[in-house]
This record gives sequence, structure tokens and C-alpha cells, in this order.
Amino acid sequence: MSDNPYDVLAIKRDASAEEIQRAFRKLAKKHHPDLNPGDPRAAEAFKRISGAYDILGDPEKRARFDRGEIDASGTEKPPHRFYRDFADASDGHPYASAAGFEDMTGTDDLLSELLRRRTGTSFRMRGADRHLRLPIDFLEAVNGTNKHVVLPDGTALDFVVPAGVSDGQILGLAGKGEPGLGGAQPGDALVQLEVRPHRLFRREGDDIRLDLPISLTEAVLGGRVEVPTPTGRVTMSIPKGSNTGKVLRLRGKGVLRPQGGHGDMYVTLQVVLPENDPDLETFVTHWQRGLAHNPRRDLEREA
Amino acid sequence: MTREEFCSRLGIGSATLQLWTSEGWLLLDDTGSSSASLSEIDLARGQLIRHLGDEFGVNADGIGIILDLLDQVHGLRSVLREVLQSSAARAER
Repeated sequence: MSDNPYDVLAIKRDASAEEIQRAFRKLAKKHHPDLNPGDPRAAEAFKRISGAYDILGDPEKRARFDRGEIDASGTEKPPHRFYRDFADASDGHPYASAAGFEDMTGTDDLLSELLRRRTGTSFRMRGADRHLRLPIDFLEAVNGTNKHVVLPDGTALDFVVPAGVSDGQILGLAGKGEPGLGGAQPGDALVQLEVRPHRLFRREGDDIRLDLPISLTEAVLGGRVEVPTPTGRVTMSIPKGSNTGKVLRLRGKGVLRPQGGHGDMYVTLQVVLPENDPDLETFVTHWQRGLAHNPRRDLEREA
Repeated sequence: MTREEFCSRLGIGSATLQLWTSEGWLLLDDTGSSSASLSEIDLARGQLIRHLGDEFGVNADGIGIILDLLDQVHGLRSVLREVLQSSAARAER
């Protein structure tokens, strides 16, 4: 842009004194640095406008400029320190005002801390907590496990998932959150566990449930069968004449309780017939007592 | 600086300074002693008051409103700056 004061004020060479003043006022109001506290170009623009007006606003200087006796920068003023240079530089000045945000400080911790800092107290703020979700296997939740997790920002977390945690439970890892400010404590990492379902086991509180298929022979005659539990296989006795739906308890084979001890495991028996067994068909065909047995007698009486 | 020095550097009379302080635009101690010290920020604020009143034609009520809003803008800017600095400091760690 030209330094020519006529161009700066955007007026014609033959503008009247009034037009010059009007042009100056219009531009000065727009570009005054104190009315544009955050605009770095405002000071430069205002200086050019003021410089131009210094020449053109004074009939004598204007005549000298028109005659070419002084140039556009011929009348530079000493550097003007604007109010914004002081008001924006520090908070400790007497005109500082919090009226523009005071109402937000009650609800916003960060702003409250900043305000406290501005009034002289040193600024310390505990780091923010990190919130994480961690999927773990059913058996990891029941038996406990060590976990190594690398966060997106590269932070590595090593921690123990204690035995007996449940789905949705939150593990607090002290000091593993965001770093604190001003030497304050870091926040915590809060890890919410998502326990994936198991193919066989179901969890009810501290107890574990399992559906166990047994053979017709085992159901009728009883016997000892192997049962999977979260801690390995155990042998269980099936009493004679065990029906589908019968529930057997394995004491202490459930989940570790927070207060100590273990829950129980409940095994629901399911009698499974052999497929396509002609011998069984022959036997049942001639089994008079079986033909007479009506397990729905109660249902029929009710209905 | 003294009140006299302040007035002469701004090119105003002592009555004008009196008016500005009674309007609350400038904060001075009220003892009225001529040795009361004014600082550079008062001078710059005075310069702004002169620009608003003499050059922009803002009336007294308007000047008060503008000064008040400007001080709020500076307060907001300073808080905003600190918020940005704290979040930058957090991002670095």
C-alpha cells in the first residue's frame, strides 16, 4: 500500500479539511488499537492513519507536503504506547476486570484455578483422570491377571486385575492419569472392565453356573463325571436318578469374594439321549412302566 | 509521575483530570495531594480517553461504557491466554 497520506485516508487531492477529518475519524475508529485489543495489524494501520492525518489535518503541513517539501514520513511522532500494551501485558493493574467471565468460575475448575492464580496464589492443579475401557476374558476376571496396556499417547500401563472383578467394575490406578500442573499430583487412570462372556460359564454375582450334559446311563445309575471349572477340572458325583434340570453345587468353586472366601459353582444337569440307538428303542418299546409314566400329570390337572 | 506532569504530558487541564477521576475512568487516591503518583498505564488510558472523546466524538457516558467493556475484554484475553498456556503445557507432557 502506498504511504501517500491521501491514499492512506482514501481521499482525493482536493479534499476539504472537513472531508479529511471525516475520513480520518472513520478509519481511526475502525483501527484504533485499543478498540482492537487482539489485532496486531491495528497498531500499524492506526499509525499510518495518524501519520497521514498529522500531515493532511494541518493546513500548513499539507501545503508543504503538496509542494513536496516534506515526505509522507516527515512528521513521525514518538512511538505511542497504547492502553492495550499495558492492560494486556499483565493482570496486576488496577483496571483489570473479571466481569467478563466471573459467572463461569463457579462451575469450571480450570477457570477457578486460574482466577485463584491471578489473585496471587500459586497455580497447582491435580492432573486429569484418564478414563479407559479394557475388555478382558471371563476367566481373567475370575482368576485375575496382569495387564500391559499401551495408550495412544505412548504411555504404558502395567497393572494387576485382581481375581473376582466383575463386568463394568472400575479399577483406579493412582497416579497413572494426566500429569499435574505446577508440581501437583497426577490424576488417576480409571479403567472400566468389560468382561467378555464365556462359552460355558455364566456368572451370577459370586457364583458361576454351568450346564452339564450327562448320559442317560449317568442320569439313571448315577456316577462320577469330570466337570470344568474356572480353576480346572474336578470330579463330581451324580446321584442316581438325576433328571434334566437338577442343580448340583460345587462349594467354593465360584468367584473370589471381595470380603474373602469364594462363591459356589452350580451345575445344571442336562440328560442327553444317544442318537439312533435301536437297542434303546427296543428296550423302551417293551418297558411297561415307562409306557405308563406320565410326567405331565400335574400339568393336565391344573389346565 | 505527578498530576501536573500527567496533565502536561496529555495536554489536559487539572479540571479535566478531576472529571475523569470522578467519573471513575482513572483510579487515583482521593487524598487530592498533588504528589499522588500516576503511572504509564494511567497515561495510556488517558490517551485513549482523549482519542475517544476528542477525536471520535464519543460522549461521557459512552466513554465509561467503552472503558468498562475494554477492561472486560482484556480480562477475558488474559484468562484465555492462561487457558491456552495450561492446555499447551499439558499437551507437552
